[in-house]
Order: sequence, then C-alpha cells, then structure tokens
Amino acid sequence: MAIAIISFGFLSIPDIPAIELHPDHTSFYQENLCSFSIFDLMSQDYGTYNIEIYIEPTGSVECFGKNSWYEYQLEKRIEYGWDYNEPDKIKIWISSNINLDLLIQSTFWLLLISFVPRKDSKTISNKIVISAINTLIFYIHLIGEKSYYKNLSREYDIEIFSREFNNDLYIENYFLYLYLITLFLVSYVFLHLFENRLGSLINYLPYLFLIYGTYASLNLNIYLIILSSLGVTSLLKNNIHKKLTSLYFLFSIFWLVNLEQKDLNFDVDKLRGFTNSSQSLTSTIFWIIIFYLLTNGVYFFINESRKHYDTGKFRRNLLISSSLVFLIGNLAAINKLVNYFSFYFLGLNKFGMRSLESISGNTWRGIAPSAEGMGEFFAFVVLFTVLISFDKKIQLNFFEKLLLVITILGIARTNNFAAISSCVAIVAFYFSINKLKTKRTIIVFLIYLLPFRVHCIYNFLEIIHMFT
Amino acid sequence: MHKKTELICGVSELKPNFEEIGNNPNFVFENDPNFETVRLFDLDGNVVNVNSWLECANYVNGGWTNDISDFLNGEKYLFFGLTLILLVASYFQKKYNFLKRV
Repeated sequence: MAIAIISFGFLSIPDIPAIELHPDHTSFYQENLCSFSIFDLMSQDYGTYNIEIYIEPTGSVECFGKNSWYEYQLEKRIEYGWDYNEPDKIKIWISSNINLDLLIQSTFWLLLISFVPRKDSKTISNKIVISAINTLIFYIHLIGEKSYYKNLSREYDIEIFSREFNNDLYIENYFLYLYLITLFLVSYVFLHLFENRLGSLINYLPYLFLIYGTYASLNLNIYLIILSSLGVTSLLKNNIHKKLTSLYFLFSIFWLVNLEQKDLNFDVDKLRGFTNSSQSLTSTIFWIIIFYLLTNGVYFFINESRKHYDTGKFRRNLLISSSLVFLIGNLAAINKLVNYFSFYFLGLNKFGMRSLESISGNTWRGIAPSAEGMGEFFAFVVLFTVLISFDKKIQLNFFEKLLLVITILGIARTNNFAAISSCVAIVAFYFSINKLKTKRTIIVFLIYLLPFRVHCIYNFLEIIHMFT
Repeated sequence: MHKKTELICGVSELKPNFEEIGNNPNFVFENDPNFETVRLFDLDGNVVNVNSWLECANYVNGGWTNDISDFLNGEKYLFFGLTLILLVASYFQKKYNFLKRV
C-alpha cells in the first residue's frame, strides 16, 4: 500500500491545482503534462463522463505516475458484426518508466513472496554468481529487442561505456546500470527468499493465477526472472537432463541457422512478457536460453519442494486465489483507481474490464485477458475442491465453502459452457465410479456423454459447411 | 553527449571538434538540404532551428535538446539513490545478516 501511494505521487502537491475532468478542459491538461498524479485526477469531479485510464510506458523517471496525455473521444459507431455505439469518453494516460517499473513492481512482488511462511531452509550456494549469470542473460534480452525498447525509452542504450567525440570515456549510461542492478537484486533477493521457503512455496502456486507478473512497460515477466535464476542454480549443480538438453540445443541450432533475421517490432499484446518481440539473432538466442532455464527452473522447484506438498493448503489457496480474482475483477470494474492499480500491481497484460456488463451480453472476463481462460481456471478450482474433498475426505470449513460459492459465481459470469459441462461431467463420472466401481459405469458414462458428442459433431459439421 | 547527439541529430560519419568551432567566432554552419530541420531549446526556453548535423551536434553538446526530460536526468538520481540504499543495506547485511531472517 505504501509503495503504491508513495510511488504514484499521493503525497505530492502539484504546482497548479487540477480542475474538473471535462472535454472543455482538454487543452489545460494537454498543456500541463507531468503535473498531476492519478490521485489528483481521480479526486476531480467528472460528472457523467466516462473516464478511462491507460498506461503510457514511454514516460521519463520525472514524469512517473503523472498525466502523460489527455483526450476526449466522441461517441463513435463500432462495426464488427454486432454494430453498436461506443459512448463518448475522456481518456487519460498515466506515465510509467522502464526502470521504475522494474524496481517498483519487483519490490512489490518479492514483498508478497516474503509473506509466504518460512519452512525448511536449504542454503543455495553461489547466489552472487547465479544472480550475475542471470543478469547477463537478461542483458542479452535488452540488446536483442532493441526495436521494442528503443520505442519505449529515450534513454535506451546498451553500451556499458562508450567514447565521446573527443575520445573521452562516457560512463553515464544510468539507464543500463539501473536495469542491470535491479535485475541482479531481483535474482539475489529471490534466491534468499526461496531458500527459506522451500517447504511452503509449492502450496502457494495457485496465486500465479492472481499475480500475472508482467511488467507494465517491459517485455518481461517476474516469473521469467526468478525461475531462470532457479534454472541457473540447477545448471551449476549439474542437475540437468543431459539427453534432453542436447536435443533441445540441437534443434535450437537448426532453428538459428535457418533464421531469417528481421529488425521488426512484433506487437506482443496479451503475450507480453513471454514472447519475442523481434526476429533478430540475439533476441532468438535469448528466448531459446531463457525457456530452457525456465523449464529447468520449474523442474528444480518442483523437485525440491514436492515432498512438502499439502493438499489441504493447496486447495485453500486455490479457493482464495480464484475468489480474489473474481472480487478484484468486480472492484476494478466499478472503481477506476482499483482498475489501474490492479493492472499495475498484479502485472496484468491488459486492463481489467471497466464495467460489470458482459461483453455482448455473453461473457465477462474481469481482470483476466480472456473470459474462456478464466472460466477454465474457475471450473478447475471447483473440480479440484470437490474431488479432493471427497477423495481425501478433507472437509471444507465455512470460509472455504464461502470461497467456493464465490468461485462458482465466477464461472457463471465467465459463461464458459465447455468448462462448466466438463467439470460437471467429470464430477458425475467420479461419483459414478465410486458408487458402482464396474465396467458398466464406463458405458453408462459414455452414454451420458453422447448428447455432448452429438452436439460437438453437429457444431463441427456446421463449421465445415460455412467454409465450403 | 555523443549518445544524445545520435539520438537527436542522427548518426553521422563526421567527428566534430567543438573546441575549434567554439574558438572560431567566424565559423559559419552550412545548411544541409538533406538534413531535416530539428528544433532545439535550452533550459531558459530559447529556441533554435538547426539545419545541419554539425550545427545540431554543436548545440546538443552545449546542452540544448529537443525533449524537456533531458534537463533533469532522473535515471542518474535514481541510480545514485539506489546505490546509496544498497551500500547501507550491504553494511547491515554484513553486520546482522538480516537476509537470513527474511
């Protein structure tokens, strides 16, 4: 809370007071850029106008958290099959900065990890070396995705030192120094946190669905950084599958040899943080290495922690995570500050929905990038809870039952028929097996599934008919 | 300034000697028709339009810029601030090993 308040200028006082948010005041706000924090703006009256807040990732350090642009968009007709009128709105961009995003968001997420209870310490040696190697790998990322970062930051420069025109040494590339130091710190601090929480982190994995971890301006995700540091750890311990590693790098070499290099800037959109924005040799090498380390890191993490897996705790955290996703989604839809800060501090790929109304009267995605994906997550939580409760005979307490109800509300809002029907079918099958425990059950189950299969075949034939 | 010059004026093969230019009161910058005019300003709000790479590089070297954020190097202050915090944290880490208790 303190990080959010201080970093976004809650305590700052603008030189000139902000005024009402109104289309007539567009020129005022366009002339006074970097003057008002999001708190100053949201405390102003805006009548019945619809206000939408966006992030401007190309901001400078001095302008962080302040207004970057302001414009009024008139009512317009949206034509894409279901034509409708998009109402008029006031759009405000709040500035963010690559270095500050890396620092503030990393601090917040590492702080969240620190709240996981300590259990079963195991010292990881050579933390400094691991962090240094990890930092070097992410330096390659900065070099490789030049097109992406050059558009974002005026200060973008990959040379640690360079020469002036008169041959003097230039060592003032603070952009790069900050980037490298922050990445080093993230890896180093995470390794400290991890070694003290080996016995508990695995039960908190469900929160991955709540904390997406994508940086607001960078094409990076916190999980890439921390899991690759674990990947480097396992590499240094020689804890790798040699045959798979050889096969992976053999295919990678084949890919690199046939790579057609292009200096382009691919719009990563919803995949930001986990995909390449360029087609340069350097960026491809980075993503090949990082996905290898990520996989190794995940394997190392599961291997070291699996004996501490606790079904009851995992189920509880699944329920809490899914409920928070739903509740925060609702809050973000009704409050603009919650919408903005949930985007920033949860590391979302796109802003949460700005209204409680479903899209085309159908689905509602909340803070998730896709309603279908979130529906599947909610359905999985319900399925896991029901099956584990009955199979392991772990009772739900009142609080968990309440969370289950919230999760079911979440499925209903996402309106994902496939997820709901699959969940119901699997639960029905589970209870059928347990009740009858005969081969006849399987035949009975397949008969239950028949309407769904007929429905699927019918839909498939309709699609073929549309294209022929 | 080399980096800033490249960013504002573009890349050039020329290796300017700013001292020579500064010491020559009769030096005249020749307009380059292939160079797109760049508008620069200084901290006092004075504005100049430059019409060649050399002229642009000379002004940039003198502290002129085309972006107001260049006057306050936020990254520099952030870097030194972070370094100071790290030095203090390292001292306490060595003395009390607080990361072990985190």
